[in-house]
Amino acid sequence: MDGAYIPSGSREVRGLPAKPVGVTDMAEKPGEHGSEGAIFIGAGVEIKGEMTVPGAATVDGTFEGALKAKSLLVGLTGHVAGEINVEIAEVRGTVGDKLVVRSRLVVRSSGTIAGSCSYARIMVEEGGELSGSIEKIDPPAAEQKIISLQRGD
Amino acid sequence: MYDCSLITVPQREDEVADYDWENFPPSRHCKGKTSFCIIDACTGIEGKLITRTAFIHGQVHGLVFAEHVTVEPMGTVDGLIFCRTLTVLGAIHADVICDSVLVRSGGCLSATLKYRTIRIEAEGLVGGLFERRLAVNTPLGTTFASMSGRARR
Repeated sequence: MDGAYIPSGSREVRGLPAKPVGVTDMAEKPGEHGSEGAIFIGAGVEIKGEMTVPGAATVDGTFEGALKAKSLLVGLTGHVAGEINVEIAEVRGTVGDKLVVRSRLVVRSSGTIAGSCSYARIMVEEGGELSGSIEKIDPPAAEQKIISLQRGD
Repeated sequence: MYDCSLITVPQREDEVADYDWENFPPSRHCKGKTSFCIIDACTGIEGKLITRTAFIHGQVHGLVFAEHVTVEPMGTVDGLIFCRTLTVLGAIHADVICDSVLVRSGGCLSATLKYRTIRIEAEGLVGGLFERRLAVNTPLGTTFASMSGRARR
């Protein structure tokens, strides 16, 4: 039945990928990011300060300050400003000041990044906005494909 | 025929914002025709390239002033680009003013960039100072989605 919802398990059984094509891990809900601690800042909520999040930070409200997290998802109504350091980020709202994404940065069509932005890999949808200083950084060592050649191997 | 030496490159912000691409002499002259310029991979240009549509496989040092510019995988541009749409598969190190920019996978854009819409595919590289130009009421806001297939690859 075309168009019908197929649970991920049955997709695998039917020889289909576990997730529909184009759906990234970033689209998962915060609670689905394993057992790592996560935070969800809902629309209308404002937080100022410093946060270290071992898992996913989802911001639909406003956060200002220093944020270190494994992943950051800024929703349509989300606004994040300050010193942000994450491994992966998906931006549908706005991010300002200083953003460092050590791995993958995705800016959706409604997303805006203003200020200083460093990334290892980037993808920007049409409509997305980049303003300010943009810089590429090296991906984490684990992502670099280094093959050591040793004598006798 | 037009005299390209009489074409002045917009310098001021308001001239750029209001630039009438419909009356850009090369575009007006070539209206209704399939016309383009190809800089092949073993060609280098130092100076000004003024055309309607440019496909750059070689090297350009200087100014590229065209309605549609595509820098192909082996192509490089070093200097200044003023165009309506820019597609990057090769390497650009330039000051760029355009309406729409598309950085394709493998493309590298190192620029002081002023744009209206931007799209960056995965594995595209960008860096520099980016600024989004505000939309004006004139119908200049050509996006890649609305471009005719003629100038696209």
